[in-house]
Amino acid sequence: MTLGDEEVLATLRDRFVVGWHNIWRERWVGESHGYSRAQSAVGTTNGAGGRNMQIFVLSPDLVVLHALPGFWHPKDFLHELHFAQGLAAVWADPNLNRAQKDRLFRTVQRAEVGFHGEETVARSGWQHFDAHAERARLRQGARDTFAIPVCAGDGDAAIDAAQLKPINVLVHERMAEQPFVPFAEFDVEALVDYGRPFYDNNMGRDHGVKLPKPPPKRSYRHWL
Amino acid sequence: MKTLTCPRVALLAAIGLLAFPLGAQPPGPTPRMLACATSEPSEAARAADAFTRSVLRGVEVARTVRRAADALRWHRKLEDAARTARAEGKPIVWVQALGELRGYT
Repeated sequence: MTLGDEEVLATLRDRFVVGWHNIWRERWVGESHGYSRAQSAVGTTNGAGGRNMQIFVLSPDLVVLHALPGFWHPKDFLHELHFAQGLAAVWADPNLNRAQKDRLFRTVQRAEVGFHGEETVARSGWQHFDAHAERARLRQGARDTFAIPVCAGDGDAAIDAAQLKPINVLVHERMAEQPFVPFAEFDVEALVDYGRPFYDNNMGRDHGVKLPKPPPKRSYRHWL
Repeated sequence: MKTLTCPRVALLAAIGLLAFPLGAQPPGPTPRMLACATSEPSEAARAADAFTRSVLRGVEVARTVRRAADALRWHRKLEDAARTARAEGKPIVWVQALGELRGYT
């Protein structure tokens, strides 16, 4: 749904070079139920399935300008693409030194969420199973996913009442920690480490329905 | 600081620097953002909820995937994408996904 929007496609076609990579071998990958392109799809929240999909915006010299984990609503994705174009201009600016560029990167990543509208925030809520998993992880130790710092010693009531940050806020905060990092060195795990690794938002729709089994992963390339 | 080439980033940076000094902790979600999650569902929240309940039929999914696959020149190798990006002076959108664009995901 993210990439099928006409305005998204036009923006990608006119302003970006695009590429696709299957990450099934990568260590940070979660699990998938093998959705086919002929299977129904449901809408979801920004950042859902962050371990199964990441969208990077890279400079031509392969520096990470921005990264979005998981699905994003087309309107929010467009906004983030325009934001990344601004960072591309910063990275390419010959009048700035590296320290200035890094400071700008951190600053604008943090400031950007202030420009997100109520609709974006509403679309950036947590899926219930991810929220549940994250709260369970908070019982094991501090997490950056909560708006107000809470630790295990604060007790169950404090943990149950702790407010999760919207995903759009979390993503920009985490991106601020990796300014202009070369793609080969970018810490994907640090970006996608939220919720649970298993993701299947379509279960309520397709459970019990026999779907064609996906081919063994080794044969994916022959499909192209 | 030198003049930036991108007005949008310059504006963001200026506002960000005024709002909190360099090196300060991230501001975190605004009260408005937290209010969204704690008060009665707003129109935006209801719209977001409706979106999560929306279903795209298999036929439409196939059509959407085909459109996304056909409308763009998808590079399979990062080096090739980088070469094109340098030639065209554009950034790269590099999608990493568990599965294939035209197949299972």
